[in-house]
Amino acid sequence: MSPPDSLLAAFTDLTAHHAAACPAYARLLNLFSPGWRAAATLADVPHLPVGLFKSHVLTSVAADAVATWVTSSGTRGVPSRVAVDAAGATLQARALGEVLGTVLGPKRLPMILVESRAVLKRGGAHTARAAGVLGLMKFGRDHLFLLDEDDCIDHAGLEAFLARHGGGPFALFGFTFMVWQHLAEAFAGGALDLSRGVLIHSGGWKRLEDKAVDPVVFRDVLRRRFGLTRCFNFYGMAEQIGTLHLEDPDEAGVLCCPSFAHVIVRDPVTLEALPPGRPGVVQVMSLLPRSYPGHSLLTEDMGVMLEPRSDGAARFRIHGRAPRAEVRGCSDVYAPEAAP
Amino acid sequence: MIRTLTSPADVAAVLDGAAPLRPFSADAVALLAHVSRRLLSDVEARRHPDLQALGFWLRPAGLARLGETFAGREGGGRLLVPRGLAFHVPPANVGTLFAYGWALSLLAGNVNVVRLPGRGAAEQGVLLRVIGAALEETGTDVRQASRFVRYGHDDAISGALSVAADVRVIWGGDATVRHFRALPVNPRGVDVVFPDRFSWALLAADAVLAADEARLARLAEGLARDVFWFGQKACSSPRLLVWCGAPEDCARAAARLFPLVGAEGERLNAAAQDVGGHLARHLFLHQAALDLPVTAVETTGALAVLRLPPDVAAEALKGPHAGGGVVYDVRVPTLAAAQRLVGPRDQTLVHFGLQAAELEDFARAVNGRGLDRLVPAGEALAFDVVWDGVDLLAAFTKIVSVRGGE
Repeated sequence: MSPPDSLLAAFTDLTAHHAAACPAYARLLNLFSPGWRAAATLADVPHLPVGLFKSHVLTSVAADAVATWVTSSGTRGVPSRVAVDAAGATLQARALGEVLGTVLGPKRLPMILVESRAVLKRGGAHTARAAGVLGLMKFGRDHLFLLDEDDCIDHAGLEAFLARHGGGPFALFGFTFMVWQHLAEAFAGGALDLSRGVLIHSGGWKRLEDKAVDPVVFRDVLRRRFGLTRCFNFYGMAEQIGTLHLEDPDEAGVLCCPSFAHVIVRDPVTLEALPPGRPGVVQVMSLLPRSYPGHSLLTEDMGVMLEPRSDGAARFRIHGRAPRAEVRGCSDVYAPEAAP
Repeated sequence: MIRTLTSPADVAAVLDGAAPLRPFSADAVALLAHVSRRLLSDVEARRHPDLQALGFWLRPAGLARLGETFAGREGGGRLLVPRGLAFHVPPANVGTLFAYGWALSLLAGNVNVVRLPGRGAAEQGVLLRVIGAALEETGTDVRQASRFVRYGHDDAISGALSVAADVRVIWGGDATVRHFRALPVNPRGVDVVFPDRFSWALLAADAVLAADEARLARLAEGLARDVFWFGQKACSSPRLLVWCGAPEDCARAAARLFPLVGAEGERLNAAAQDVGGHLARHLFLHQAALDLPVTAVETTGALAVLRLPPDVAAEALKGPHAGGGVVYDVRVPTLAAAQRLVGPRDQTLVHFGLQAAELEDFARAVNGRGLDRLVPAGEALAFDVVWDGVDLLAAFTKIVSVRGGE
């Protein structure tokens, strides 16, 4: 547990910045973490429950400085909303470039998006899915959307893309379940050579659980079927957009923090930071959010810390979403259940 | 024992052959005593405190007392007779509550159709097994008068049962009550409804300071039971804790009591590994801190205390709540100053250090604006025949006046 000491100072400074700029955040600090200025380790830096961005608007910039509102996909009801200003957007793009550059290289590569072009229209450009696609598209060129507007595979387009770019390095991006369904399964029988490709994928494993597909199986199948050896999952969220925790090249399912971020796993009951090996609730820390106090968030994901990398970067695994709260009490909480 | 209904046409078969019984019929009393005995001795049932509470509540001595009170209301040209058919809609999330309504209605002599919640907790299965076994050994009349049914979200079936019912017993809070009120009903029927409620605790600071260790420990135990059972989600679980006394007394009394309640709560919750519940509670504390004029947050053991100023708008506290041991702490100088906090949603007030006369004055001063039950700390969840301000045995019967001729 020795990420560079400079991170602690940077996070404490960032906490001070938000405390000064966001009165609601300052109020929460006073009530829940009055001693935050004396943080001695990264685990002492205060954190907010990520769900707070669903119920409340917390910003550290003036209303007229907000360039865009980033909205989460809201798979659990109400979506989150966070305010990003121009400086924040630039910072995010740079951070994204730095992290993706380590696997895609310095140049923009021809890119296959395992996605339908319609996704950009469907939920509006600000849904997390569309934002993810748009954000990643900037790191590619000569884009091919693998699916047409009806979600059918564009075989002709794929053939043409591979004929033109298949011999050199090219990139692929998609949501994990989409890649599995529209590449791994759809091309299970045919010959498809993706050996010069670099795949970046994200979005969670929940939908692949009943197919018994985990990170190891995922990489293994793509390697055997398509010769695709460079395959990287990443973990990130709308509330910390731009912060990508990339999968280790050698160890499937192991995620690494970028230099400007950190991850802590906490006991779900006591919220105490847990040592490597003990599963709990994941807290994500990133120096990117300056326009809203989302630099240290307790997520609703479960995971486990691993021993840090030799350079001190935190490494962890994600186990999936925390279970929902048990429903109890005299009042029928869910109206559909109450309806007879 | 449990029938599954698939269409309104099934309702007639469920009611077939059933006829009301005499109130407090020997068979009904014997059946409930049998259920009580089994609950108190069954190995599985003994693991669930709410089943033990039910078993205790149904024990013969308790039933006999109910019977005496009931008989005392008759005479002088008044007879109490069953209403006829009772249709029970218990809450989805408390697996054992249906038994209280069923038992009282059976004692009143009604034929009962109980719609069992779909997602039954473990204790519900145990309870149904016990009731089923007791019903096997009882007379036909009582068995016919106890029908347990399950069906999906089907308004046609609920409507058919509502039209047939002489009394409907609807739990489940505002949403469920509204839903059932919109169904067709028997014009002569009555409803006993249990909408969303809010409950609190009222503690005299000087009494907490004066209590010796043993009395304090009993108070902490009782209050922890009130707060932590059913995940603090029952309608009678206290969420607001009002201290009555001088500010420095309140502070000292709180410092004395809260750690004990928190530790007791940890003991009660030790088995519960509801990760989602803990995260929801953590989020709720932050939301409350932004939405309410919270002046301090203190966590001690399993108890989280949100301090609020004495002039807080009380109705703001009575909305959504995550449960799991979160109490609002409001301190007032006198009992009279607490009257302001009472509102129409308020059901139970558990108390410590207050005399019966003071409490009666308090209830009289509030004059029906809210609060149906003022009971000692530790008894918030103890079911009573008078619930939500309604005498259930009275609601389950009707009065026949008889005046002879010359």
